[in-house]
Parts: sequence; structure tokens; C-alpha cells
Amino acid sequence: MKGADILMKALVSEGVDTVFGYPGGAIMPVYDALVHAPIKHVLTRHEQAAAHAAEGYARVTGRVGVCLATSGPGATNLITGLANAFLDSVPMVAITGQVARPLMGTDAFQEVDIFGISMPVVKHSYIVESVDELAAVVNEAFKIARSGRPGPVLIDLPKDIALAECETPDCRGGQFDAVPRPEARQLNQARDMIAASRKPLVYAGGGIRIAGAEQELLAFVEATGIPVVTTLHGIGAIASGHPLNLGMLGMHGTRAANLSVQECDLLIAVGARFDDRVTGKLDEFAPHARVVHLDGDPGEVSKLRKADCPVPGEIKTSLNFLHVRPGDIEPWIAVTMKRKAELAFTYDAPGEFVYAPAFLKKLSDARTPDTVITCDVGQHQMWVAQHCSFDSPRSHMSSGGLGTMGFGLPAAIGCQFARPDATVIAVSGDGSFMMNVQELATLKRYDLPVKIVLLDNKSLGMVRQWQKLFFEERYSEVDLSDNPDFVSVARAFGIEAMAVESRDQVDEAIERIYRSEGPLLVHVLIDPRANVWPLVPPGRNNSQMLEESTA
Amino acid sequence: MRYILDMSIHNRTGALERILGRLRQRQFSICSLTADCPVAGMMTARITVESSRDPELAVKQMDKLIDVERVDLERLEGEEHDVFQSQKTTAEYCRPV
Repeated sequence: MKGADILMKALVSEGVDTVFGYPGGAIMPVYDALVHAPIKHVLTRHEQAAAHAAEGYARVTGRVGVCLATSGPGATNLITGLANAFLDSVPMVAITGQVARPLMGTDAFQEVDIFGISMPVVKHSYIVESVDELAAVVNEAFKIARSGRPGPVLIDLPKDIALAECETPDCRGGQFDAVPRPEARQLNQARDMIAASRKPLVYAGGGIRIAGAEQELLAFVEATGIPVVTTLHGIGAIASGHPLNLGMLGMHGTRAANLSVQECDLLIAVGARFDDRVTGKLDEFAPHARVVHLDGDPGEVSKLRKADCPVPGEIKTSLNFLHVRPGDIEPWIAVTMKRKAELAFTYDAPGEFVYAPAFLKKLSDARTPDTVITCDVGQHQMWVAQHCSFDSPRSHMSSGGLGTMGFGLPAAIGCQFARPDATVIAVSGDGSFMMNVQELATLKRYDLPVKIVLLDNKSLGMVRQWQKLFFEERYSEVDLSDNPDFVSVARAFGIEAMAVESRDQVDEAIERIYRSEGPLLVHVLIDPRANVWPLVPPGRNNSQMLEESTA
Repeated sequence: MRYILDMSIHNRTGALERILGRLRQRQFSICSLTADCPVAGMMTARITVESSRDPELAVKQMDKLIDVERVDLERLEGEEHDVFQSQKTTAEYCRPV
């Protein structure tokens, strides 16, 4: 059996049914083996999109996403996707073709040191050095990708190995860093701190999705009565509509969430990492709080904020142990709930333009239980986080750590392949959309019913907003008023499209999104001057939020 | 401040490179390095690093690497310092020991 056939067999034995990729010279033996393998290959139109699609597939299923690319430019085009998965802790295996071993190190055609280039953005990587070890490498790569804190693993496969006959397959393959059990001493300390607190707050992050600890979080919150704020990736970890959920915190967080964090006396961080977009000025973040930090990755505990009670280890186990209701929590709950009600977003913005937050709220209110929303990066991404509701962290997909414009559409493609019956909506902006616009061809090719909501403000809105606020309105390279006609672009790819240019067209558009069977692009013209509020300016603490009227 | 990381490593392709890259990216400058392969497949490395960051962070980052089997920390000089005070890192290259 040839190396490429062994690769197919190993992928099938890992339960892989779908891979995303793009062929080329050095990976041709693998594509040859794919012809007869029981694996569906999805051809994207750029390798970056293959990586994002594999990530979308992985995020929505919790399984390992797989992408393929050839050597040289094919491999380098995966890098942004790998970095995105690395920063957002998504399990992936990327397989790159490499020139044959005798040519490696000779600057051969399409040779690049992808093993070296990718090293800082993968959890681990391999250059396959013998066909006999190939199956074991694949097995190990999958274990590493999904174990502990998940992440991407790269396998660089030289062409001669893909073509070589295997004689004595090596069956090595170890176990890798399962998340440790939390220590009883630390758990007891955390219980005591919760019991003694008067103004406790849960700060919930993406680690809850990774640990599959949504039920445990809900049980903990309901047993203790402690209000919750979430990070971007914590959205959906507890239902948006839960009474104790104060919403997202941080730079574009809700006022209720940020003010409560600044006031609390105990911050229980659960699978969150004190990212700078969350904390604002770090040494003024939650200034009155002692910190209990639960995380599956010991490397995150006390990385940026020293935990008074570090609890590295399985989040589920920890949460289940901490069901202790603070003695006098009712006044604090009342304060936070009052604040939540009084400072809630409003949707009665004046003007003629479609108001993006109102559009997104309506879109979300009409959702079906199986709706998934993916985002690109920028103002629309923050509006989705602020104004859409989510009942599961797997129904909201946003490029959080890396902030990759162009992520949304290919991620939606990956989601739709994983869940063919789901309503998958890619919310994008006119800047982000153009970064992977070629994937409209993939939608058409596979007739995927992905719905694209393109919020068009004819500019790079988030950059423009910062230039307005922090660079004295010196607008530099943010004008996109020469955008193409997006409806015509979609139609040129064979995709249905409609324009929404006034508020009275919104209901029809939303109905069509949920009713139409095939792919659809809804081009929504919004106010080019609209900005995202509130906003914590850089270098400030989270109580110093700007609102439209104060900016 | 300077610290010594004493490590036992599975000597697979790129193992040492991965360690050095991770230390650099996490703002630990390398002052000295000795490495040896006492038995086939294994490497021992003794790396002196300098950083204003908490050395425990370097240990945790090394622990995360698949190739690293064991890492011990020796404090060369200086006193216990607070993570909060270590946000500012120097960009200066370390002088040879």
C-alpha cells in the first residue's frame, strides 16, 4: 500500500468524513488516493478558505477539522487559518504536500520550509520521515489536536513518501496531556472564597465550549445565584436570555457587564484568559476583586492577572464542586439586575438608513433552534456579539484571538457541511467580505444554503471609528465607496441576491433568509457614519466607556 | 532576572527549535545554552534565560510543548517578584554570561 493510501486509511480510522483543500504538484499523490477514498473532499478556491472551513467544521461539531494543501504557496496560504485556530484553540490537522526528500533543502520548485514557518502557530508539527511511520504520525496528530487545550497540528508530507510502498508500519502513538483533575485544596479554597463573597461575578470564556461544560456552568450559576459576564467566545456558554447573564464584557461590552466587573469583590474566571480586549487597562481591571481562576490550560492561570486562588484542571469537575451560595448575595443580584434593565440596548435610532443593531436583533429574534451565525471581523462582528442572542457557544462563530477578516464565509461553509440541515448565516462587512469573496464559487459549486448578510457601510468601519476617535478624524485608507455592486457580484457567481436599502425592506429580507432554500446574499446598506457603542478607549479601564453622545 | 531551565526533551525533528522559538516569543531572552544527547532519542538542555516576566510562565509554556518531557527551574539571582510588576519587558538583548 502506498503512503497516500495509508494516509486515507488513517484519516478514515480517525473518523474523518470531510476534508477541505486545494490540489497542487507535491500533494498530487494524495489527491490521487482521494479519488477512491470514502472521504468527501471540498474544493475551496483558496487554501486560506480551506483552513477556515475546516475550523468552522471543527467548531460546530467539536471534532477535528482537516485541510489539505500543496507545498510552497499552498502551504503558506494555510498559515492565517492555522494561526486563527491556534489562538482560538480549535482542533485541526493540516496536511501539506512537500517536495520529495532528495529535493528538500535545495530551493526546489514550490519548496518552502512550512514546518519552520508554521511552528509558532501550531500546537505541534511533523515532517514525515518514513512511510512506515505515516499512520502513527496521523494517529498522534489527531490525539494532540484534540487533547488538553485543543489546537492545530501540521503534517508535512514529502511527495516521495506519499508514493512509497509501506512494508512494516510503525504503530507508535502515545497519550497526550489530558486536562488534569483540579486539586482538592484549591477547590476548597475557592469554595470558601465564594461563600465569603458579597459581590461575586462569573467571567465565562471560550474554555467552557472547549470543555463542553455548558450544563455545569448553568448548574453552578443557578445553585449559587452569581451573575455572569461572558467574553466573545463565552457567548452562548450560558443562554443570552438567562436572567443572570449580563452580556459581554470588555472593549465593546455592555455597560451592565463592565460596571459589574469593576465593582465585584470576587471574580470567578472560567475558561477565560484576561485578554487585553477584555480587561482594558490590566492593572485597573476588576480592582476590588480577588480572583478564582478555573482553566483547563495551566499556562493561562496567572499569566496576566495573578489568581488569588488558581484552579487549573477540568472545568466541569471544578464547577460541580463549587455549588455554594454566598450568604448575602441578594443585594448584589438586585444591583446587577437593575443595571441590566436600565442600561439595556435600545433600537429606536433615528434616521433613514437601516440600523444595523436593529437588523441583527430582528434576525436573531427570528432564529430557529439550529441557526448558526458566523462573523467576519470589524464593526459588524461586535454588533453580532452585542445584539444577537445565542443558546449555545457552538451557534456563534467569531474570529476572536486573531481577528481574521475573511473568516466568516469559509467558516460558514465548513459549518454547513457539518450540519447540512442547519440555518447557517454568515454576517459580514464590505471590507471583510472581499477578503474571501472567491468562496461564493464554493457555495455555488456545492449548492450550500449559506445565507450571507453583508452589512455595507462603504468603509473599513472599525478602523474609521478609531481614526475618528483617536486620530483626530484623519481618515486614512478607509473609504470603500468604490465597492463593487455586491448584488451583481453574487449573481455573477450564480447566487441569488437582494438589496436592502431602507428600513421597510428589513422584514422581507429576514423572512427570505429563513425561508429560501439555496444560498442567498442580502446586501444591507447601512449608515456609513454608524459606530459601535459603548467603547472602552485603549489604555483606559472598563468603567470609562464612551457612548455615541459622549464621543 | 536570570533563570536556568533544565530540560529533558524528546529529540524529534524541530524539538530544540520549537523550545527556543517559544521562549523568544514569550519574551525570554536566551543567554546561554548547552545541549547533549546522552541516549538515542533524548536530549538534555540547560538554558539560561533572562526576562522581567515570571519564570513560572516559561516553565508552563515549556510544559505545553509535546517534545518536552521534564522542565526544572533554577533561580540564578534576584528575588521573588510580582506578575503585576512584570508587564514591562526589556527589548535589550542579553549580554553573554
